[in-house]
Amino acid sequence: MAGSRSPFKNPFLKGFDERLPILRAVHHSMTAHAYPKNLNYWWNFGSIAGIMLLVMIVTGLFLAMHYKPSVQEDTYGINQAFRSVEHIMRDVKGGMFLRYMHSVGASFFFIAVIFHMFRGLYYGSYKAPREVLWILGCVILILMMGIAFLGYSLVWGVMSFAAAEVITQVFTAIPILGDDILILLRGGEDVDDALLNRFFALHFLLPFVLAGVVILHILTLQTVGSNNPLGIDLKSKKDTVSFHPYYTFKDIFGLALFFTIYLAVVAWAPERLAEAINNQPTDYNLPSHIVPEWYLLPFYAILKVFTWDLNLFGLVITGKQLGALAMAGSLGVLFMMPWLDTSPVRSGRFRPVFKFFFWGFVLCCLILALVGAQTSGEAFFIPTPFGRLPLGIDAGNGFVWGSTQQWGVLFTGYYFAYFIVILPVLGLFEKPKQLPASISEPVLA
Amino acid sequence: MRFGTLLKTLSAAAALSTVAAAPAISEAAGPIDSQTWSFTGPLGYYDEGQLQHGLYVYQTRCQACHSLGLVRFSSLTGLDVSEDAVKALASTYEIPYINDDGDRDVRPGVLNDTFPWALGNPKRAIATYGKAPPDLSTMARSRIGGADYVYALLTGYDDAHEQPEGAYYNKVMKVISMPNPWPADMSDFEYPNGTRPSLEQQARDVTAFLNWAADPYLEERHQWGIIVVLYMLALTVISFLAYRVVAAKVYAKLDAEGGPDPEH
Ligand code: HEC
Repeated sequence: MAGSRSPFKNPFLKGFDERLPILRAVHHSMTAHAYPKNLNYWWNFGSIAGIMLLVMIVTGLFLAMHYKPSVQEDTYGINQAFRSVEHIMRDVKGGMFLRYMHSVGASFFFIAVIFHMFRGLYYGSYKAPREVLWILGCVILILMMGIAFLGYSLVWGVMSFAAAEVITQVFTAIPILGDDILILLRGGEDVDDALLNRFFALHFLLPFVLAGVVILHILTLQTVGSNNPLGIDLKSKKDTVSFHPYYTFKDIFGLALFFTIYLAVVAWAPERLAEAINNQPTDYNLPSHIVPEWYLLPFYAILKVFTWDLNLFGLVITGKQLGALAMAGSLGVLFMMPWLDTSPVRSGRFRPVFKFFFWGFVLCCLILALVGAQTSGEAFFIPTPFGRLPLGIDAGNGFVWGSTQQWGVLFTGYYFAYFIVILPVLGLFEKPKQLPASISEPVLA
Repeated sequence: MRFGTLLKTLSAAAALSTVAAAPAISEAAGPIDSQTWSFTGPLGYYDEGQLQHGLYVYQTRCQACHSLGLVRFSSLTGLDVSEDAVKALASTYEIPYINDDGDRDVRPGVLNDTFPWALGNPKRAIATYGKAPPDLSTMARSRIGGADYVYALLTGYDDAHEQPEGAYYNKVMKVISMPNPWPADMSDFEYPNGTRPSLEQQARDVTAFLNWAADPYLEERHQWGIIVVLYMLALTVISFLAYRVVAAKVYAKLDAEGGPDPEH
């Protein structure tokens, strides 16, 4: 990968590089490595996600210097963990900015990664030779979800408490070992000090594991090369460009725009994306229904829609187990993407039927997010700026047409069908449009 | 008001955007009407006079049951109250502590203390009211609707409604263990400056105070936001232009000699 001779003229850089050839590797990947010249703005989210990870680690480090993982309540009924977070917001210099940059930052990290992944799904970035690249990305997503959940718990408001209880409870769905895993996660039977302390330890550790996986992700990218909007391989020097200066400047522009929005939310709506009730430290008035942070909603929906037991010739799988299985499966299918999509064409641009189902899948994820946020037995609705758009009616007698749960089942079905049925079958029957000969040559008429 | 009159005049304009944004919040919370507050909108600020009145209402009507366990007396200087006045105010509170003989005792409050809880602890509070009056430090941030919710709750009492023993009727919370905080006759209630506020005015002032208690650095955040976002916008424009310039050069070079060898 790295050139054999140091590219540097400066004697210090040259000397250093000849002893540890790390600068040369960076220099090589920035200037000599071939990138497709036609990457569009959807390709900006990768570098944005990387920078967000840095922002989270740096702000998180300073927050950790003031945080106390203790559920001990004082005479006000306020626990020490919650108090220490408020102490950061009120007494620590710049603490309010640190804290909001971290909590809002989590949301924006997810926004970047979600765009990044949907881009991959549309342009077929998971197909050979990028299977490992894609799978590492899936590992990153799962780590992020775990880290975000752990971090949310640390605040120890009422919703933190409820989330920690409900999510650790999910593991009891695992046969035989479930109860032991629960005790391992919680550090005991109860949701208590032991749980909060191990959550803090893990919340501090895992981001560095994540950073390690990100480095592997980038190394894999360097090896197999970037996909591009046409989804065809690089053919000649006419198709390529070096990363610097073209993509460095394009990435800086993308970052600046993204950060403008992120910091505006920090300034004017730092709690808009969060559940207000979690600012309450005491359980006098418990939340009426438990909802996770917005980025976990689609998976939470898949977890909660299964309310019936399945009887397979005497082997009973409870609704809870079905939900847990489905949630694990909803992440598991992502790993299988490279083999589930049978189409030889990468880019959705040349797949007229795929396009239709792809946007259906985007819609599906949005609907599932709403399902995750709403109450199962009630009529489902779509919130709009002009009020609620009802998609169900309460027929009385406890019977609801179009309940949140029914919509949830429907779209959980679509979610899985997209991966397990639509993509495999589509690849065999769809007639793709003609691919251009190369990036630099237009399509033959 | 550190940001001065400029902020206030600009805020009048910003109020328009607040009105537009408000329905979404109240919608989510159901029966809660949105109010106009000085602190909403991109240039929102606190009106110190109002906060001082709110503090007075809190002291008169709320602190018998509630606490502000995260709000230090010293932070009251942010309400434009002199440090001496804050010290004097703090010393009127009794703070429980263990004295040198190891006995439970009380001492006068100092700047670093937080507003104490007259009921002492959650157990006694529950024994007294059936449900503990929650600490109000973060209340304005912990309900959907925020300040609008608190105001709606405080103005939502209707004593004519029949309720079981120990419970009261409120439009926002149909069965609430908090008694109506407003006495039937408030005709001789005066603010320290001699004005006679209506019930709604008191509710409004104490709500503003509670919003400040929950989010004391809101003004700093808004000022920071204006500077940072303007800076970032400028950076966005400049970096876009720089990108276009670089792109033009790169394209020209690519046409002439191409990029790196893909086999490399
Ligand atoms: C006589 C005691 C008492 C007084 C005085 C009192 N409260 Fe309360 N307050 C309570 C109790 C008890 C609750 C818990 C109510 C419940 O959850 O049913 C409560 C709850 C609240 C809540 C939370 C409601 C919710 O959504 O859970 C707010 C806000 C509140 N009080 C504000 C105030 C304000 C502001 C004042 C002063 C104007 C005040 N209270 C005066 C006893 C009191």
